[in-house]
Order: sequence, then C-alpha cells, then structure tokens
Amino acid sequence: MPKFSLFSIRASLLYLVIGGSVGGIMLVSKAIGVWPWIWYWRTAHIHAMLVGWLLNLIFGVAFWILPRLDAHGWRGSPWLVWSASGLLQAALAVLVWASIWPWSAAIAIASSLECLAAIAIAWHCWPRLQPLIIEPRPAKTSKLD
Amino acid sequence: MPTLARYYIRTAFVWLVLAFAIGIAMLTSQLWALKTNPLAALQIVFYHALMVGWVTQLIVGVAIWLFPVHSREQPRGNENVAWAAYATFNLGLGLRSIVEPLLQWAPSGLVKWAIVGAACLQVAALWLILLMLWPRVKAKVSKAK
Ligand code: HEM
Repeated sequence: MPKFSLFSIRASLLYLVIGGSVGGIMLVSKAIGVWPWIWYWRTAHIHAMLVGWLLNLIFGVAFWILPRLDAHGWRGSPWLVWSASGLLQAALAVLVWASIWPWSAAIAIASSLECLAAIAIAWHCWPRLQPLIIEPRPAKTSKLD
Repeated sequence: MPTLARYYIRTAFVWLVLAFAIGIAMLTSQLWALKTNPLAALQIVFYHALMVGWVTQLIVGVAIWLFPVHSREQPRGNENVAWAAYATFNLGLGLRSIVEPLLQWAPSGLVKWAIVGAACLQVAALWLILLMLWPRVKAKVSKAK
C-alpha cells in the first residue's frame, strides 16, 4: 500500500472511532441527561463520520487500487492527492472548531475547502479511470530470425 | 471470500433492507396527515441503519476480505477480535434501533439504561474494528498460506 493510502486509511479509522465515541456520549446524554454540552459536538459527529471516515477512506483506497498509468505501476503525481487530503483535514478542523465555538463563516469556509478537495481528487482519479490496457506480448523470436 | 467477510456483508444487506422498510414506513405515515407523527421518532434509526448497518458494515466486510493480509499464519489477524466486533456492532445497533424510539414512545428507566448499554456496545464495536483493521493497513504485503 502506498504512503498516501496508509495515511488516509489510518486517518479514516481514527475518525471512525473518535467520531463514533462522540456519538456514543451523545446517546448516553440523550438517555440519562448527563453532559448536555456534548450536543455542541453533534455537527462534528456528523462531519467526522461522513467526511472524516467515509471520504478519507475513499481517497486512500482510490489512490491504492485504481488502474495504474503505466507498466511500472506509476499512480500519477501524489501531490494532488496530498493536497486533496490536506484540504479535507482543514475543512474538518474548521467544522470541529466551529461546532464547539460557533462561528458564522465556518460552513462557507469548510464547504469551499471540501469543494477544492473534490476537484483535486477528481483531477487525480480522472486519468486513472480507464479500461485496463493489455499490452500485446512481444512475439517470440525464433532462432532462425 | 472468508467466512467472516461473508457474515459482515450479508448482515449489511439485512440492514439495507431494514433501512428501506423504515424509510417506506416513515414516508407512508406522512399520508395519514396526523398532527404529530409517531414514526418521526424513527428518523435517527433510519440514518444509522443506513450509514452504520449498511455502509460501514459493508466497508468493514470488504476490508476484511481485501486489505493486505496480517501475516502468513493469521491472514486476518486475531479472528476472535473480528467476531467480537461483529457481535457488538450488530447487537449495539439492533438494541439502539429498538430502544431509541421507545424513549419518545414509552420512556422508562429500563429504556434509558438499555440506551446506555447500546451506546457502550456500539462504541466498543468501533474500537474492536480499529484493533482488527489497523495492523492490516500496511505497506508490505505478505502472502497468505
Ligand atoms: C458508535 C456509533 C454511533 C453512535 C453511537 C452515533 C450516535 C449519534 C447520535 C446520538 C446522533 C444525534 C441524534 C439526535 O439528534 O437525536 C447522531 C446523528 C447522526 N449520525 Fe451518528 N452515531 C454513530 C455512528 C455514525 C456513523 C458511522 C455515521 C455515518 C457514517 C453516523 C451518521 C450520523 C448522521 C448523518 C447523524 C444526523 C442525523 C440527523 O440529522 O437526524 N453516525 N449519531
């Protein structure tokens, strides 16, 4: 697995457990009325799950497994996927921050960052979405040639 | 496909069908033009049946099947952890799907503590999934025996 996929898939697993644990605390709070402040984290839970868990995982697996660009296994320049990931983590940081300390511009900033992340990952994946190119085997050369 | 992955993926399909059934019930109930719709209490159950029971469980099942193997001797790592994750995941989500709406329909002490139990099971499942998948997110691929 390439370095970017290691990073992105591990990040997605961390988002799953941390975001899910926040969800667990919300559920306990809902049932027995403890820790009411946890409800400020509701939006953070939703974004950690839908963006942190699912999108990081998708980015990591896509980079790892989509058809390669040449016979040497070249996956394309990794800077685009790293930028996509950086933009995604920045968007999540803004959203988590804003769900704790509400801030009106947060949604606009985070969605713009997510939109740029989408453009970057699409740009990377586009040329890799192609049918497998099966190169013809070089013809066997006979001794008479 | 390993038995473990088949269990995860088949159960994910069961949750997909349940989610659709809940969705259909909620949509149909809107036709009754009731003042307060009791089935509105199922909204959170619907979301989690879809995103946790179906999407997340399907992803984990496919990851168990296709991620790089853990080692030649134990290709999927410690399978007891994976089975424990499977049991807590589905028991937690199943219990929650029953008792969370009951908090609105017929709240009681038992219901409240059942929700706390479901939250603990769900969070435990996610940590077990992390424990199971983390070592399989790795650069070097060892072949299964
Ligand atoms: C341990 C697992 C989880 C727990 C305990 C949990 C708990 C919760 C709770 C308590 C809420 C707020 C419900 C309310 O407003 O009354 C919520 C909302 C939500 N969660 Fe989770 N969650 C979990 C996992 C997930 C996952 C894996 C996803 C998606 C991949 C997810 C997506 C959502 C969404 C979309 C909402 C918003 C629902 C709405 O607006 O009605 N959750 N969750």
